[in-house]
Amino acid sequence: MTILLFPNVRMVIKAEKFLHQLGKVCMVRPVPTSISSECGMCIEIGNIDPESIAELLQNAGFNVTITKNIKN
Amino acid sequence: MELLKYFDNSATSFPKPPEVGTFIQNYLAVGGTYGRSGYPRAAESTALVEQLRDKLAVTFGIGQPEKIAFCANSTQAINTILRGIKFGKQEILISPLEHNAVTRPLEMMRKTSGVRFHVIANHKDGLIDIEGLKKQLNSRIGMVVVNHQSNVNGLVQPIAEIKKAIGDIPILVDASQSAGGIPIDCNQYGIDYLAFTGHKGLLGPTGIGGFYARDPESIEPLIFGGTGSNSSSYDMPLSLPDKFQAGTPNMVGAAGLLGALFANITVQHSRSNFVEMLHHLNCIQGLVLFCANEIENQGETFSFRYTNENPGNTAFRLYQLFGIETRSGLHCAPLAHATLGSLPHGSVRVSLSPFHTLKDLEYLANSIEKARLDH
Repeated sequence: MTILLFPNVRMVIKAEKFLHQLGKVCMVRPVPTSISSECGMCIEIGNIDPESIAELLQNAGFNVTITKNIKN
Repeated sequence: MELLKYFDNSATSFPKPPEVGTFIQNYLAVGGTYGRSGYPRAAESTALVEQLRDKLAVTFGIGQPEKIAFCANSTQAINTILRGIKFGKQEILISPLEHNAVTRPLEMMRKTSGVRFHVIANHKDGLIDIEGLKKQLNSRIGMVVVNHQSNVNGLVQPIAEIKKAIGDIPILVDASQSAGGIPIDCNQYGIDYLAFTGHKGLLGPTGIGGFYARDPESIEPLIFGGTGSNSSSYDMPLSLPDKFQAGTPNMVGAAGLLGALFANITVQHSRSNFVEMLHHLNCIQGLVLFCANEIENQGETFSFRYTNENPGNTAFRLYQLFGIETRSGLHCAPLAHATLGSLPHGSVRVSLSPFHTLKDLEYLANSIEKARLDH
């Protein structure tokens, strides 16, 4: 599982909307407790290249951190 | 059609657009908190709050919506700004029509930390004298506070002109009465801080308001607590809007205010209807009208009093005889009444709604005339 972390919930919600508008499959979920959390919400992305997603978000002004290989 | 006899919209607007109730009901039916949890219900209700922030940013000409923080009302917003800035030995200039939402925190700050504040030079109706203001500027002035539209005589201050005169000195605009009724463009006017409430001109429910800060780093939070972010730290997060939003926001209020912003409001009276009503009142013998000297500076709030009667009695009789709801007294604005020469008794205040029709205004003016003691 790959998740995207943001500094706050506003950015999570705006990023989810942004990705949906681009047709990217993603969902808001709680931040796994196994990682350092910036926020109670994060975005889980499916089988999409995380780097390309991060680039899209960063170019749109989002402050995003990718965390890969998270176990449920 | 039944007459709308409620003329106390400066206290809180009535009626509300139907969308306010619809959005509140829809929210209550679905529920959900802001942030915190990661299931769809929470995400959807969080999105509702963020949609409100985005819409308000458009309404107020703010390029970065995250610089808008929600709180309960303008009073809390103004307290956050004034008490959150380290003024040190700087002094503050305030407009002559300020509400206690500004004067009381400043008086507390004067007593506890020696912050000094002074009233800006003005004309008789409270309009800021720009040339006089320029003469008051010096290196000690740390902020200028301006009530955009007076809640007593409805005078609208020229914000862009004032900001131009004060240059880099930050301006705090209290938009309690003007937001929703008068266009506000923070970017164009150069507004540094804007305080607003949702339940007056914006036509939303009570308990939801907020502020904008061009430079949020200049303010320390007033309230500290959980934000759903950076939870491992005892410090408040610096990211926006979380820095100023400890605790769960008023979700019901946010839903209602969002509904109000989606409402398509058509004003049911014309500007000339309003001006003609003021002219009618101005011709009544024994009535003193408190309004702007120039009609172009007049918002849709004004006050009056009969020279031979306490305003409280006039307001009481207006309701008893004609069912008209107004507010009498000092309107939490003793400085404004001092400026207008209406201390100690104050005035009867009339404040319009976009839903008032010409017939409502005619009924109001005729009722005020008939309410004169010796009529």
